[in-house]
Amino acid sequence: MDRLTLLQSATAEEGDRIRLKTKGLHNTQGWDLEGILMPHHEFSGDNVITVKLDNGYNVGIDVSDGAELEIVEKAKDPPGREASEWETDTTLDKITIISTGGTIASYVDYRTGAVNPALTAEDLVFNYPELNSMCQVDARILMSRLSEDIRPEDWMTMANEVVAAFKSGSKGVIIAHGTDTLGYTAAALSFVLDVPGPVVLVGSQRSSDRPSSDAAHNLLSATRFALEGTPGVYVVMHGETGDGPCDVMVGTKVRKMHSSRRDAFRAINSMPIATVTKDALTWIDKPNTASAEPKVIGSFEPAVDIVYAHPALDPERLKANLAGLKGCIIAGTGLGHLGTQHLKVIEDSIASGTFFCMTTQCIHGRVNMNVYSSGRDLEAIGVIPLEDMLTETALVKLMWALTSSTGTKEIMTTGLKGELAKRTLPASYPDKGAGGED
Amino acid sequence: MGVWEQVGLKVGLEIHRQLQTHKLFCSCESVLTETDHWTFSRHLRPTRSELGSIDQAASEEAKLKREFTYQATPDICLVEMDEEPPHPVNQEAVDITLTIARLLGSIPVDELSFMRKIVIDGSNTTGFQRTGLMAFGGKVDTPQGPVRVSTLCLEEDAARIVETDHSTATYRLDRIGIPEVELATEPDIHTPEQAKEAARALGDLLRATRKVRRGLGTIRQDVNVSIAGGKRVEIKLVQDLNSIPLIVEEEARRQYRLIHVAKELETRGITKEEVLAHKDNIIDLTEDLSNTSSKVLQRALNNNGIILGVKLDGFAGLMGQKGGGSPVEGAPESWLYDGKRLLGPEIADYAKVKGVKGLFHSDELPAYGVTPAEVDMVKGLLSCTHDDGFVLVAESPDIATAAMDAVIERSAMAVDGVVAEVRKPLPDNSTQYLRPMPGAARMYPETDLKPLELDRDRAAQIDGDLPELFGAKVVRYVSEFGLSQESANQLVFSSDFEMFEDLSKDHDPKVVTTTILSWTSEAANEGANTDHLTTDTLDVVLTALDESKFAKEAVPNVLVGLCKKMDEDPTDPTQALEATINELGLETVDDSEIIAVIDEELQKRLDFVKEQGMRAIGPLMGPVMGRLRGKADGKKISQLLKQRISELT
Repeated sequence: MDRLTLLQSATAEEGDRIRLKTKGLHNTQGWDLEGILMPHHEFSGDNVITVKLDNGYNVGIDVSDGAELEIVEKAKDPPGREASEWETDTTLDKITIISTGGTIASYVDYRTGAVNPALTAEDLVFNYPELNSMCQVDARILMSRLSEDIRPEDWMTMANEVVAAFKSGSKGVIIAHGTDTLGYTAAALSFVLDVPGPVVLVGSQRSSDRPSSDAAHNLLSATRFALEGTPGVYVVMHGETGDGPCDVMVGTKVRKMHSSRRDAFRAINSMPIATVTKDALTWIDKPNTASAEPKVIGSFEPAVDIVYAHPALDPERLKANLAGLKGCIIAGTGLGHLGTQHLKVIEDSIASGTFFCMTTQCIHGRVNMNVYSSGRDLEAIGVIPLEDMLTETALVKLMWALTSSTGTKEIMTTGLKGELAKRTLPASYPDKGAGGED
Repeated sequence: MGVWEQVGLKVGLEIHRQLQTHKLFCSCESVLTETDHWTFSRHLRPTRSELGSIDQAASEEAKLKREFTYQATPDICLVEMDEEPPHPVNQEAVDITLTIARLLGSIPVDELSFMRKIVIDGSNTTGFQRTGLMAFGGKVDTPQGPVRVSTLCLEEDAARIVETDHSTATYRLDRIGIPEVELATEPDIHTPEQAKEAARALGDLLRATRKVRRGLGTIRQDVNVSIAGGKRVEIKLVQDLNSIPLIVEEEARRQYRLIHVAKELETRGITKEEVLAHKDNIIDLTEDLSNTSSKVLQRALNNNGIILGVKLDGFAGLMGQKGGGSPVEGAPESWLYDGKRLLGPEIADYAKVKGVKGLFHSDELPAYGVTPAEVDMVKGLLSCTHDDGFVLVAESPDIATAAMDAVIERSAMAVDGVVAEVRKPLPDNSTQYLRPMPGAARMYPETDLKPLELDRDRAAQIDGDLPELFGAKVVRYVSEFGLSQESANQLVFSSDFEMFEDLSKDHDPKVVTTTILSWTSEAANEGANTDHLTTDTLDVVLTALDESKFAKEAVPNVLVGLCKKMDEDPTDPTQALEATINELGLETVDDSEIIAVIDEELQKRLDFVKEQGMRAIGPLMGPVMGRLRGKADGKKISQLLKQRISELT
């Protein structure tokens, strides 16, 4: 029998307590199961019904060969949460927590079995009650996006929200964000915002529906920095695989360096400026940033791209991809190189008005286009080397610079928010560890 | 009617057994190591479960706010550290579990969903254990009758505990993720002895697959016990088969005592609410007992501790041993007079969880340095009458207060009789309170894994390749190899049939049987460390025996010598065997014996030798060497052969 027909004829809905009688694939005697009807998993067999038994297990039973299904009890509304009332200590500083989505602000949707980005402001305090003794929490849901779905216009929405938060008297602002593109957003907000206090981007690498999640530790540490940190845009995330102090990293110098580890975020070509826990902030290199009136400066040009240099890159395809771009970052090989067969394509593109900058796909280190002829040739036709700037930061900065009345080249080559450093310290390149930090 | 029938004993088993394959959700080998490691520390927070509540056991643990230290060994990857999502499930583990299901007559589900079972004692880096219900039903037979199987699950093992105290715990990550089956029976077991038989039968069935791990820690048995009027109590981690009946009996007796206490409280008209009301009547006795001669109390006072006391209305005589009366021999009533204490240990266990080392209750005082005068004073201060009991706790203020709350809560539970809870076995086969019974709210779907279809083709493939069960093995050993019934039984049920089957592929099964059942134990009796005698090592020995390097009579001595050599260097059995043969003088054959063999061979081919002369040396080496292999040096044989041929021609 068809699963949907069976469910429809019994008017059974997810969450109903049902009794299911069927042979399934293996049971010649026939199953006679009672339990809660679970949502159909996208990878489940078409005619498999998943039932949550009283022992807590979900089991999938195939109803292709016919089945009887009756509703024992209609679904109850999920049990109400304990009244989420908390007393606010008005002597504490106010911190605004802006939720944009992602793992840190997510919960398991037990109806679909997926981790969903949706959490109310009350949920935040309910889940992390320690917040309430640290600050007055001003939580708001700005959007519910997985970070791969964040678009440049979302950066503007966030920036405006940050300005509003500071204007309403918040000491610092926390943005809960999915980790995939958290680095891009951190860079974008760095350029587009002037702020009187800390703006802290925070995420979590292990979903907050598991007891081992890094969400609480990251969020509470971010709160400490939002209370005591310097003005500017920063990322606060786990500094190690264990729940030791979090690293505080400058928003333009930080990159997600691992797909899954808690300590995925690393300061690149630089060092964390501080370590922080729920209880204490320890400076390593305190930034000398001044407090500024909160405002949004400029916006972002979306017609940009990154060209990743590689041996199979085809000049014709490259040419097609560059059409219509206002700006382009070349993530070059080594010191900042692109195969000589592409020189003409780049030169033509520059002539048609596309602005080109060079970063290195090595991630670590600085471009230097004087050492080899390919670099010299690229620089000669107008490709601008961006020193030790991260490729992703360069892309975001270029988007921002292209909307400015000031010359793009001048903006790109001038350090504004810590994105360019004249010196690379040896300690900024990680040692090869045997496995962990001990 | 036997005593077990009288008390309505019901026992169910839950058996965990590691599978012989790589880890369940990553490609790491399932090996335990004692090598070096590095460490990291984490905390766990309970999550709201699928049904919106936090499981009772989980929140109990969370109240402790413990820090967990993990030892990361070189053999683990990011999955064990919870630094990477699980990889797709190990298909071999699924197949082994399906095989077990078919052997039990269990019915597999059509689609396997892994769940997250919340466990926040730190033993899982994730804070949950991944487990999937694979099959229902089936049974195993015992001499006392069949025991039905309720469920068969495939799950990941937890990390190994290294050390633990009140606020921290250290775990080693080598064990986490090893696949194991969890097999639960219905409470069909009605005597302590049957519990052992059922555990044994299930263990034999699992071993028959040859795909389960063996040795310490690879098998864990949880025993669920209840008697009529009692409740299901889970006794965790019973290691030894032989202790199962003793633990079951002790638990039945404990439940009987608690039911007696509950009845007595009812008679005395004590309600739960009345007991709980004492939370407001905890009296600080620190000043009053400041000069006590009790060392236990003084120690607490010296460490800035306090002494708290609480009255328990109507509890007199229900905490200590029962005295008086005339028990009927053989009847369950006699259990009340077996010298065991009634409620005292139960209350103390709950208090200990809060961090106290113990407590004093009125039924055991005066004693332990507490004088009769002090007891009278305490009774006065707590307003105890002759019928009332009291409890004293001495510790730092926080712990003492928490412990006293636990004392009152546990005392109130006594009104209900037996408490459904998880207990751990102690060396004397009694048990100790571990934690409350976990509720059903502790499971939610593992969203990082897709459901896995267990289709008919897969089941058919498993059915076509089912392993032989032990009973069938015995029959086959007798008919196929001509072993005696006794030897076959011994090999299969109490020895090492895997070793027998592996060695019998290349060696005479009867010789293999003697090796395993007699010669190895003879060597052990001579003091040899027979752990060295693995299948591989015995293969080397039996190969040498097959090549007549020594006589059968010499095997026990060879094994003794071999084990001694391998005590020094366990890596090379071949070399160890050669050295042993040399040392035992089994290789020495003198020249005259060699010449005798040569001459025999020469006589057989006299014409050929005369015709070929020295050219006959080559063709003759083979047969001569064949007869003397291992007992004489090849060069020597060649030299003597040359000499004899030249003398002949």
